[in-house]
Amino acid sequence: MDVAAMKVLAAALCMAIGSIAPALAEGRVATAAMEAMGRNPDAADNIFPKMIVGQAICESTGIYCLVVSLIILFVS
Amino acid sequence: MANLQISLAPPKVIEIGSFTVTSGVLASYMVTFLLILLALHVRKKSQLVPSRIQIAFEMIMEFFLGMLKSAYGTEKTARRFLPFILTIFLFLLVANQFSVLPIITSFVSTGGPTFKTPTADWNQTIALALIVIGGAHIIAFKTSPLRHINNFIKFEPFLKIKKPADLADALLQFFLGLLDIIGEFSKIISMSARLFGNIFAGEVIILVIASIASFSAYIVPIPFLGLSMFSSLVQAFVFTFLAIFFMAGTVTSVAAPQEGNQS
Repeated sequence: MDVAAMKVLAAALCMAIGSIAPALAEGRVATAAMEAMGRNPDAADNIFPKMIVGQAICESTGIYCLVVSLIILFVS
Repeated sequence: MANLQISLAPPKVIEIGSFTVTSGVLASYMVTFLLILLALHVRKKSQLVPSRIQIAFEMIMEFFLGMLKSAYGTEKTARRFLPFILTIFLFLLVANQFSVLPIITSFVSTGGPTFKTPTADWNQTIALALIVIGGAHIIAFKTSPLRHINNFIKFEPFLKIKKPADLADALLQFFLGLLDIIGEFSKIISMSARLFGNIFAGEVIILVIASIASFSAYIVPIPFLGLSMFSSLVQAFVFTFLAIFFMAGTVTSVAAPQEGNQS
């Protein structure tokens, strides 16, 4: 296989494998937030923004994989 | 699909000798100018019974003051850091959404568009992260140089060895201290890469979708534009939040021990 083909394959695999873990992690954060909001509906306005921030931080490693993938594709 | 020109580095607009101004830098000048105009306007019309813009700014300020107080403990140090943190937040709030401004991006000069979203340029986000983390270390070093270096190169456990088991413990502490230095660099890279990746990926997604077919540039990108606007807001907040807590971690670890802590 030549270099260009390997580069494209590497970029695709990087993103594909790298998005498994953040998705699972964000699901767990959302589950905990939903249970807390169900148990205490008055605190829902307090919990929801914190859930969003927690999910944004869980997203970080997925974004690092995206940056690596973009570097592989677009930086010669 | 047409051949897309996507590059990580922003196009250079002005080159005077070896001094280059890229389109991201021009856009960040414009963002700064807009923020200064907004600040002057709000300050001129501030009254005891506040207008809506004043209420919005006061809400933002109270929110970050509360967060700083919980990070630093006392109100005095919280107020010391408040202008810096608010500047970062307001700059990111406007700069991440720069692609929403309608006509500006159609100015085209030699390399490409004259104005590009400032934070879609990894150079700028690394600069912001360096200012935050580097500033925290400089403040900590000025407060107490010896204690700050002791946090990273730990010689004290070696001076307290009584048994051979203590030697292993001292070596472990020394190695963990050196690892903390690498941790500081990883903080810079993680903060900058998170912000850059979110904003740049938002732009690339819209570019790719708009170039799939001739008709898909019209209504199809709207959900992705919405997602990009939402994530710009969240990323501005997350960057500021992490800036507060990383700075607080470094600065309070060299603070003099409080007198009233023993109970």
